[in-house]
Amino acid sequence: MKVFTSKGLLDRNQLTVKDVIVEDEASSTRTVATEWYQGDEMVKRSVWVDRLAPLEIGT
Amino acid sequence: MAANTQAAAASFKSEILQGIHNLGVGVTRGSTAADTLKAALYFAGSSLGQATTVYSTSGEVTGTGYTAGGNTVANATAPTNSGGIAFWTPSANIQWTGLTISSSFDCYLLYNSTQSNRAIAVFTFPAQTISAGTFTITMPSNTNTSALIQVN
Repeated sequence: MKVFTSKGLLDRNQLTVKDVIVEDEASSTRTVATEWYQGDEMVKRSVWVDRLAPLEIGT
Repeated sequence: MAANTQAAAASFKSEILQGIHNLGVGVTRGSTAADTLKAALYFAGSSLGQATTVYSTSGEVTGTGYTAGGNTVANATAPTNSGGIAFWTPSANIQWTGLTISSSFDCYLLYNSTQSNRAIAVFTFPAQTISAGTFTITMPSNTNTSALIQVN
């Protein structure tokens, strides 16, 4: 399987991947960042921001 | 430059009382078309917040896969109310693909491009960078307890 990275398409077996999950009270969000590394170099990073509570207009 | 702060634009609160913004499809202003809404991303420390009145390129992110002005927000769900609370949520997630933003960004401005790019709200999140990847803002369920925007 190929993965598109900052260095172009790389074989999946050349890469390690980890997810970094952060819950932030100030912004009422849970953020999942998926980081792909070729050795020690990060070559791809995608992020999902999940909002957990409404923004109240009256505040 | 000051930190970005999460807030509904103060100008938006008075503008909704003037009937300027139309986040739904209805008979208003002689037109039944919903306004076009957009979401633009901003670098950390760009001073966005309650005092923001309009979209501006000042502090807006730049990078591969990002077009100035941001992405159009799906707006197919009319605002409604339940339990004394009015609420609205975009009808789809907001996503950028093939994106590279190398400097930290930590908020998006939801604004009304039909109505002179007037600001609606600033939504913050922990600062991020993107590299050859996808950035997705997941929308919550559209209920009176979990919608993106709520008027109590």
